[in-house]
Amino acid sequence: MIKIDGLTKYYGDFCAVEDLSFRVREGCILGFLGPNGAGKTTTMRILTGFMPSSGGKVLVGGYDVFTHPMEVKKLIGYMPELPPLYHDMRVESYLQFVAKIKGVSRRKRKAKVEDVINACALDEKRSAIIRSLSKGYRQRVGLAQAMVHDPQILVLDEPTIGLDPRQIIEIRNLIKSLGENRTVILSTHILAEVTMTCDRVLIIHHGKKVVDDDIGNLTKTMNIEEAFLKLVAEAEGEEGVAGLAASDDNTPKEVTP
Amino acid sequence: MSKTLTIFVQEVKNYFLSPIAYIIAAGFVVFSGVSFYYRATNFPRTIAAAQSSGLLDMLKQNRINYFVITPMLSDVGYILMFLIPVITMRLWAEERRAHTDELLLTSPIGVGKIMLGKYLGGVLFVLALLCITLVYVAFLFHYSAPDPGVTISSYLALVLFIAAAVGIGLFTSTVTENQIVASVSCLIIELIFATFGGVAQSVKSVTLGKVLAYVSWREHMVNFFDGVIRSSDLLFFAGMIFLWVFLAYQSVESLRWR
Repeated sequence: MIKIDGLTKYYGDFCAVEDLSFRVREGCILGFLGPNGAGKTTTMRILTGFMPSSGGKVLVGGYDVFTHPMEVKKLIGYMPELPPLYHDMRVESYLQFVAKIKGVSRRKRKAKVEDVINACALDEKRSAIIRSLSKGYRQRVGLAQAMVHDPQILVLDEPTIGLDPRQIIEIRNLIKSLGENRTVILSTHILAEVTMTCDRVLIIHHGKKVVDDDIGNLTKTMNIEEAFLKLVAEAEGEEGVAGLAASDDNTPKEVTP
Repeated sequence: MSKTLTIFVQEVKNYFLSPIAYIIAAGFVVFSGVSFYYRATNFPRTIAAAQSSGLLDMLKQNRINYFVITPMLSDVGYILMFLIPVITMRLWAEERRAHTDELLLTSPIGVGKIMLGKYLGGVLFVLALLCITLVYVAFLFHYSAPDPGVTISSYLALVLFIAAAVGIGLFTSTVTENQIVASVSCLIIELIFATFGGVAQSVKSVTLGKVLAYVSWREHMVNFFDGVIRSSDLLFFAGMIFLWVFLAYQSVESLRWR
């Protein structure tokens, strides 16, 4: 469903993503992990057509993001880290607006908006002004706008950030149910979330791939936290070695959580 | 096209939902009202002065147009020159601040359509303001007999000015996230075009003088105020509109590349 080959992105001289390649199967929920500043958001922004890459190829559903951005954008629902909400609008009219610009036909629009309002449990807030909503509800509206055109792929950038534990569980269950018939890329810092919702894990660090594996393989010998810290430390160690080009000591540094 | 319409409708709704629009409208009513009151009540005095200086005998135009409507619309042009930057500053800068540009730019809708919808939304709001002045003109038509043709062409000058100025505002709104910077830059660009005419008269080089005169607002609006619609003036405004909307489009596109 998603094929990324040699993706590279420079901001001026700074390399945010370097030669990143991975695949995402149809119907897979991919946990996209990495420390802050690893290049997760950049990768997602390129994948969704928000910004172009400096190099590499991104194919979504067989379409190249660069040459056929409109087809790709129709396939993807994107929830950025900060939900893109118009604070003066009411929930329902906001979703109507999003449905229109996403190209949902007039005939289906009402039903689609109803579907996402129900799926995201927004019924009692449908005529509330977005400004007045709590963070949890705003996050849900953000998720609803990503789903309103019924995309085959959902790209979610830290959807549970800033929510209370109860809301996190709700959103997590929602994502799980969404993943049943969609491909989902989920970026998060909550590692437990990955074990609970994802089939596959991709970890990047300093814009490079550290691991791309099934969740089962990764958590065979240790839990996901340990695996994450070990792999990131290894990546850092390798980088240090490459940078110094002196030491042949490749043993990973142990980091205790 | 329907998506451009969606953006346009959304933009217009935004204007009428936001308090700043009503503050601007109130300010416009006050300033344009003062201008109309001043020009209308001063009419007998300006007529008398024109008679004593012999101007009145040479004047071929309708007196109401020449002494009331044209000066008032010229004032309205200046008022709008200061209000348009405040109206247009949010067009794109606000989208970036609220991160809703991520929604628009990841939706299956081209940047050109987004820009066009926003531009037309801004133009419509300013035109709605301009419509307020029609009340004053209706008043003049009721009590006197201005020349309808000259009145229409004078209004056309303002419509074209608005269309060009909103284009400038759209462009400056795309270059920065800061709305104050956007509005001040827009005002400065407008003022540059406004002062070129004056500068043109004082430069020594004839060619440069001609060029400067050509790019001034006034140079292209006076003919409309005289009731003359020239294709070169229409071309100037068409060029201005296209240039600034195109620059706005390019600016949004290029931001994504950085």
